[in-house]
Parts: sequence; structure tokens; C-alpha cells
Amino acid sequence: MTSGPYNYSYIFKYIIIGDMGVGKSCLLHQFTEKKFMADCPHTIGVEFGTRIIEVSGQKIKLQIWDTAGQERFRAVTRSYYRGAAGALMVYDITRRSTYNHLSSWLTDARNLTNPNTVIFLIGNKSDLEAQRDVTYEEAKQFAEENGLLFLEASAKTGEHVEEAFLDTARKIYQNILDGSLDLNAAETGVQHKPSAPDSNQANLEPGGGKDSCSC
Amino acid sequence: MADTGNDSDISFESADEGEDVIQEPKPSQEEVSDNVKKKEEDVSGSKDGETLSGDPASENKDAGLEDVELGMSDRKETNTKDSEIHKDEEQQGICSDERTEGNSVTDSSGKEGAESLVQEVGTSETTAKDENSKNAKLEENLEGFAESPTNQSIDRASASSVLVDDESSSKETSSAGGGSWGSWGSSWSGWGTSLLSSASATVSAVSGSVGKVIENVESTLGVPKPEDLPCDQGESSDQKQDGQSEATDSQEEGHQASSPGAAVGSFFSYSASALTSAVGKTVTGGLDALESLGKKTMDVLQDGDPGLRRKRAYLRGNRRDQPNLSQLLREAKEEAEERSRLEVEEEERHKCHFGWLFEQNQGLAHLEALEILSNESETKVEATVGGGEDTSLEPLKTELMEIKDAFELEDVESEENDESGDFVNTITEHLFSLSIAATPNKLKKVQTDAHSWLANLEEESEEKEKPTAKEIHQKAMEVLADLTARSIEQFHKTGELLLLKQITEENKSPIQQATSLSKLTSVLCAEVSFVASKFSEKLSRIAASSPDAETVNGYITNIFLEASNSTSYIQDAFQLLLPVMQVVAIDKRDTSQ
Repeated sequence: MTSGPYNYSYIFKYIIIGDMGVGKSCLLHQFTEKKFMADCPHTIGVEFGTRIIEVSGQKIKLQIWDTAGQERFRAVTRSYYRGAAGALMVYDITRRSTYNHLSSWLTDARNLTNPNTVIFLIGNKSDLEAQRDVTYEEAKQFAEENGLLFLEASAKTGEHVEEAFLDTARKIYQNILDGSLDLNAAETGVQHKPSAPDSNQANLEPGGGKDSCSC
Repeated sequence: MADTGNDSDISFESADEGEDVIQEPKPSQEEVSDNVKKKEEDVSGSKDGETLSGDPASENKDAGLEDVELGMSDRKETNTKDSEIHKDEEQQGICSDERTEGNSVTDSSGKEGAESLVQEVGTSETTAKDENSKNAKLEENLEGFAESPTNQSIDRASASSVLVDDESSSKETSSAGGGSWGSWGSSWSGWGTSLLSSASATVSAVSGSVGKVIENVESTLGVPKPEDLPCDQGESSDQKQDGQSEATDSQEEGHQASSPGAAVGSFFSYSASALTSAVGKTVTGGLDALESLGKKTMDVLQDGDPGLRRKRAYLRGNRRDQPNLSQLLREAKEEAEERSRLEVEEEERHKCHFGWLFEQNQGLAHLEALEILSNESETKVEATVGGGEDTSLEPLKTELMEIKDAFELEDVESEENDESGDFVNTITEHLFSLSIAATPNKLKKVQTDAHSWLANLEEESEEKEKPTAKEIHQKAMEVLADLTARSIEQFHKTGELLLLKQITEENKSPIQQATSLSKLTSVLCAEVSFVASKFSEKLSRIAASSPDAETVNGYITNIFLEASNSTSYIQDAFQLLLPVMQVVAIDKRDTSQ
């Protein structure tokens, strides 16, 4: 893990959603460990990953909830959407069915998160160009129509994985700065930690949603 | 030359303006650089004028010297007016007084000086006026231009006196109030400009006056007297000695008091070099006297420079309100080192901090997720049995109550295994009795690792180097945090799987499952206490022979504290499963109906 893990000003909750086998856990593993996990077991319920990133000089801890894609877990994983600041919605560019299910995932994401939740569409497995089943253009259009950020990424090569996670954080942070995301509101998925030593956010968000730590 | 005169006028005025505005102790960086620019302009502007005026100046040299001698004898005659002379000198020559007293004084005295100079050309009473008048006359001869040379000669007079002031400045500064800082700071910049402009503009006329400059510089800097000084200087030895002693006094004081600072030194050296180049250019005129005097000036100024460098360094070291770059860098470096040291310390602290390790192991996340499931389940349970007095719900309510009873933990200790070796078997058995697909692989691994570490500690204790108390404590924290996090994860997964509604008829009843969960909890808690006591045991052994028993005892206390913390986490997680179990019961009833 990165050093100085207590030195962050914010915690953003992310959820990763999408059909089974699109590579949600692999994307998370690539992002947190910078490694490709070739033989990834099915996720039971939800797994977690964390990484501290920096956005505009602010250290942000991403607490990522990697949900199970299996349909049988759908009811359980829906419980975890609440309070997510960012949602990474993943499909597999080599399997059109995973793309076709996006509207269902998007509906869940819209209904179960708050209106400010940043939704990022990721077309995974961009390394498998030969087996492509979903064009970049149509996915891009879908993203634009639904107001989603969009990138094609590869958990295997790591291409655009960082960008997807970081761009989401930047957008969330921007929402905080321009006030559209109220930190005092419930379930924003953002926790502010004013205790961070060199944070100049103290005066920016005086009553920031400081969350009690159980330790 | 007229142009040059105007240039110097402008810079003189602007320097005065600067005085009016600036109230800070020192001229800022921009102001300094501005002045430097001005100087450059002045120098370049004056070069042309100098080469043009070089010859006429030499022609008038004799006359100028005569003037000086005349002036000197005049001064001798008026020796009785010593006090008056001194007053004049203070007003005109030693500009430091004026500068410390304020801008208005400088302005007025400058004007007065100018007027009196115009009046007193040829009949000046003081040495300074000698110079001024002589220069004025020389320049009049050269240019036929009365106005600007006068100003310039004032400039130069102040320049030469400032050479003295450079050392003696602090004297006045220390005696003057806080407000004098402003005038001081700007006076330096003004001085730089005036020195330069006068030096460059009137350098052609330097021949006579330079002797005085040298004298002043010498007396200030302690440079040995040149042998071939003009004869008039010998005549003014009385005056000189006064000035010399004063200069020496002020020099000493100057070292004690904090004075204008780094910019002065650099300023001086800069203007010195600029002056040098300007003088060097003029000297090519080929006149012996002028050449030797110019060279002398160069030498003296260059000789003085190292001394000033030393002084600058000294002053720099003394100034607190304006740290220099190296200081800043040093401080930044120290700060960075301090920060990284603190970071390392913090990391060290975290490494053996149960709460932090627990969070690192995602224990908190699993607990949070389990809490979400629990809350939703509770809502569902209440929605089902909370409202109404539906008698058909009575059996269900009874069942839910029974489940709740099953969640009442027996005393943890009573369940304790004599040997925790069958921990893996026990938890596997209990999980299997839940009829869910959860496998306690992670729990098993943590437990096995902890036990093998402890076993290693036992074996190695004879030959190999023992781990320190600190290391044992850290390991204990790691094991406890990991064990707790994995236990919570196990409960979380169990909850998720229980909610999959895949529990079929052949499964055990929810009450049986609840009992299994309860037993599982007991086993986990027992394991926590077992591990904690093992680690404490090791530490106790160390504490008995350790000189720092207090620290070791603190570690032991901490282990027990965190073990109880761990136990309550596990039991809390277990309790969170109660609504989940009740939902399972409700679902089961629904499917069976």
C-alpha cells in the first residue's frame, strides 16, 4: 500500500457494476495492485479495494465496492449502491449481451444512488480488438445520450484503467468544489477528513461531513 | 552631456519619489532591479558624453586644481567658523543624517545645497563644497550648462560622502527611530542611482574630486593612503583626521547595528563595477593625472569590495526579517526531513495500531456492508411482523423470537477449546451446518499463520535472535486485526449467501443455523483470546528480564485491550446477522406456503 495512508482529506465511495465476467474485479485489481489477475474467482456479494489518489493536490482515498455480477447476487448488491459517489459501469466489448444489459444496470445506478453520483462507462477488454463486438462509436453515443463519462479500457494491459478511476474522482471533486455536491447531505459517498495535516480544505468545507471512525 | 545631465536628474528625482513612498525597511527586489536598470541606462548614456568631454576636461584640470587650492585656503581662513562648517558638512556631506531624518529634509537640503553651491562656486568653505564647487565649475567649463552639473555635483558629493556613509550609516540608523528605516532603505537605492549617475556623468570632472573620494573611501575602508595624493589633501589634514576618526567610529558601530542589509553590498559592488567600467573608459583620454586618479579610484573601490562582501555576509547573517535563499532552502530541507521523519513515525505507529490494521484489511468495509444488509433485513422483518395483529403470523413471530434467543451468546469462555488446533475443523463444521457455500479459507490462513509464527518463536528462542517485544507486539496486532477482519468478512459473506434465497427444504432450520452461527462466534472469540494470551505470554517472559519492563507491560495491556476490542467487533457482526437470519426464516415460510 502507499505510504502515509492516513494522510487523506476525502474518502470517495465507488461501486463497480456490470454483468458477470466483464472484468470488474480485474479492473479493480489492476487499479489497486497494478497487476492483471488472470484467474479471477467469482465475486461473492461484494469485495473491496482501496487506493489513495491525488486530485488537485488533495489526497483522496477511494473505497471501492466491487460487486458480484452474478444475477443471483443482484438483490444483495443493490443494497450496496447507496451512498456511492462514483459508479463504474462495465461491459465487455467482446460480448454484446453485456453491452445490451447496460440500460438495466444504469437504471439501478440511477435509482439507487443520489443524483450527483458520477457514472463512468467502461468498455473493458480493449486489448481483444479482434473479438470486438461493440464498436467504440455506439458506446460513445450511448454514454453521451445518458450523460456518462466513457472510456474503453483493458484490465489486462492496464490501458485507461487509471484514467477511468481518476477521471471519476476529478469529476466528483469538481462537484464538491462547485457546490453541486453538498457534503452535508446524506449518502453522498464522500467523507471529508478535516484532520489531514496540510489541507487547505478546512475553510472550504467548514462543516464537512466528518465521519466518525470506529477505531 | 546635457542629455546625460537630464538622465541623472530624472533618476535623482525618481529616487526621491521612492523615498516618499517606501516605508519598509528595505527597497524591494523590484526596486533594486529598477535602480539597477537605471544605472545601466545612466552608464550607457554617459559613455558618449564622456568620450566627447574627455579632452575639455583635461584642459580645465589645472584651473580646477587651482580652484581647489583656492578653496582650501579659503577654508583655512575660515577655520574659526568650524562649527558652522561642520553644520554645513552634516547637511551636505554626510547625507546619512538627512536621510534618517526624513524625506523632506533630504529634499530641502538638496535644494539648499544646490542653491548654496551655485552661490559659492569658487569660494566654498568646506571640503565637500570645495569638491562641489570645483566640479560645478569644471562642468560649467565643459558644458556651459549650469543647471544639471550642479545637481550632478550634489549627487556626486553625496556619492562620495555616502562612501563614508556606507560604513557609518548604521550609526544614524541605530539612533534614529523606526521610521528611519524607510528612508534608509530607499536612500540606498537612491544612493546607488545618484552615485552611478554622478559618477558616470561627471566622471570627466572626477580628476579633482576623486582625491576626496579616495580619501573618504580610504578612511572608511582602511585602505592605505596612496603616496601621490594631490597636495591639497595634505592641507586639509585637520579636517581629514576628524572625518577619519568619525568614520572609524561609525565603522565600528556599523558592525554592531543591523543596517540596510544584503542589497547594499550587492548594490555597492554593482555600482563599483559600473563605475569602474565608466572610469576606465574615461581614463583613455590619456591624461596622466586623470588616469592615475581614475585607476586609483578603481583600485580603491575594488580593494574595498572584498571588505564589503564580508560585511554583506555579516549583515545577511544578522537579518532575521529577510532570510536569504540558502537559508530558505536549508529550512525547506529541514522541514522536508522532519515531515518524512514524522511520516515514518506515523507509519510505524499505524503498523501496530489495531484500528488502522483492521481498516487496512477491509474489516471496516465488510462491517459496513454487513450493517447495510442487516438494516435492510430489519426493515423487511418489521414490515412483515411489525404491523397488525395478524394471528397467522404468530408461529412466525415465535420462530423469530427463537432465532433471537439463539443469538444470545453463551459465555465465551465456556466454549473454549483446550487446544485451538481443531479451530479449522470447528469453524468448517459450523459453516457447513449453515448449508452455505462459504468456505473459511481466509480465516484458516490467518489462524494457521499466527500459530506457526508463535510456534517459531518458541523454537527459535534458544539459538536464533529473539524478536523484540516491539516486534512481538506488532505481530500480535497484525494477527488480531487480520483475524477480526476475516471473521467479519466471514459473517458478511455468510449474510450475503443466506439472503440468496437458495435455501431449500433439506437445509436445517433457521434456528439451527442461528445456533451454528452462535457457536462459530464463540470459536472465533475463543481463538482471539487464545492468540492474545499466547502473545502476552511471550511478552511476559521478556518483561521479566527486560530493563524496560514498563514498555513491555504496556504492550501486554494493549494486546488484551485490542483482543477485547476484536471480540466485540466479532460479536457485533454476529448480532448484525440476526435480522438476516430472521429474513431467512420469513423467506422460508413464504416459499413453503
